[in-house]
Amino acid sequence: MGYRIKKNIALLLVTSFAFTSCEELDISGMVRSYDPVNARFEQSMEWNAAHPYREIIVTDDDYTILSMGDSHVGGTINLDIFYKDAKAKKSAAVVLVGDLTTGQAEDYDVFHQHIPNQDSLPSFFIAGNHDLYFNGWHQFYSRFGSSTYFFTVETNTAKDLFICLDTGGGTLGTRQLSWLSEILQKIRPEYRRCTVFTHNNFFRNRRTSSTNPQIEELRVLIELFTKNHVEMVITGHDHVHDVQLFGNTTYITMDALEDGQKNPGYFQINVIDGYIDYRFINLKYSGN
Amino acid sequence: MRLFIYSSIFIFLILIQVTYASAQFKVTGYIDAGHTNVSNGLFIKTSGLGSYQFGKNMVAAGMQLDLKNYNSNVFSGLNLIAAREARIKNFHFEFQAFYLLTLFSDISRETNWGMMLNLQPEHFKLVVGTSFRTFAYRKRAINEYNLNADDKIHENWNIIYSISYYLKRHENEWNIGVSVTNIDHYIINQETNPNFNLNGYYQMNAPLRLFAEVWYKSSGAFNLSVNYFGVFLRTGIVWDIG
Repeated sequence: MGYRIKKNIALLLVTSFAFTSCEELDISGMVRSYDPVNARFEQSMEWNAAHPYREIIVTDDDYTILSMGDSHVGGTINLDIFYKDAKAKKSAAVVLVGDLTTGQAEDYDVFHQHIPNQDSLPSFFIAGNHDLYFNGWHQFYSRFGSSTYFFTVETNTAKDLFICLDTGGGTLGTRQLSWLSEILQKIRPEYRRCTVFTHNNFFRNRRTSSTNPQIEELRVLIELFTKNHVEMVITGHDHVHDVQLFGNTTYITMDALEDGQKNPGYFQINVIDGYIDYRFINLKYSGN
Repeated sequence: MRLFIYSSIFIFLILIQVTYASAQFKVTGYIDAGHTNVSNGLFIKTSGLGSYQFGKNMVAAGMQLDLKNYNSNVFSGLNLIAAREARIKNFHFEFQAFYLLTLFSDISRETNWGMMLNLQPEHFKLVVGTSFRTFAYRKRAINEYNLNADDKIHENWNIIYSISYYLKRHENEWNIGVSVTNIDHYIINQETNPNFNLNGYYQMNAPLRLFAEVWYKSSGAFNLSVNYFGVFLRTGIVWDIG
């Protein structure tokens, strides 16, 4: 009996060591978090206080925004294609919804080198769970700052609101949820359309080991989005695209952009005559 | 509302039968108090479940009331269960089918139905099963927010599990156990959101059992980026009316 227990403990230790030694996974995150969501939110708010929200002004009534997630840099082939397309399509902005890197400092460095100048193409970044591995939040924060904020796009006739949320820890946490409620109740009514970006996809349309927010949190978010007329919620995380229409809200899960994925891709939002149209762009078939 | 009426009738029928039949009837009542990331401070819930055992069959019904929570609904959950004990050679188990309605706000509702197997080997309680979840809007929200009544979100073949280990054998007058599970009486989480609880009971006398549970909920464990989600204390009684 004693031998069996010792054998099992040894096996557990070897397995744990193998996982913690992996360069892409930080298994310690299963039992503890380097930077809990409320602490990240406080830092994001500090950043927001020093850097007011961005107002993007476009000269036309219609505009395009591109979004991608799960680039998991290392590889940058698809990331470069994404930015090339964004420039070619004259995107008003791009939104990168997390799992941009593996969390390792050297991957953050590589990722950072491939981002164009903010003046030529405004880029908005959100942390995903992989970005937090290996104490990655500090890497994220030092390069991109806040992971909870909003920005606006103003056309000749209207203004639209875009909210970015940090679900890298699988939950919004109490403070971020309170912030979101306030933004939706007080600021949302001033805008024509409202889109939310975040990393974690909400609904479980297939069997996967990736985690969605707790059911109780989903219920609260569904209610908030319905009551406050959020038109679209754009997420990544699950690596396989999906569309769920529920009420007046369309819930999007994007394909992963990561090099080597079976169907790598990004997401294109076209605001035309005040209405939101969208397309999934599959890089495998897009001619790049 | 119709479901609420049906469930009330169902519970009433069970009570009537108890009066006239000599089958086994059991009532469980408990109260939860705690905090989650979405409870907006302290939440307090209470629930009553009645079960009626006749031969190898069992039916049960329960209701949950939210006394203090983020939502305005008081009646927040309904649980209907039908079960049958079975045996394959020396392998004893209980097969259970259930329906669960959660009215978590005045806007939308969630229904779950499914089935599970319960096993109770010495010192363990094991549950494994599957469920089918549907999110839908409530009538008043469809009118108020101009929504499409046909809009529903389905999550099919969710895995249900509960693994509990107890210090003493099940027939002992007191016990302490630990559980990892994605289910509770009125909630079924995704299989990737395990919750943990420490639980114990004390059999006061023949019909009455006191129990208490401490639950810890986390988010993101399977994303390797775990965060606190909530903690609550449950305490209640099981009254074996006989």
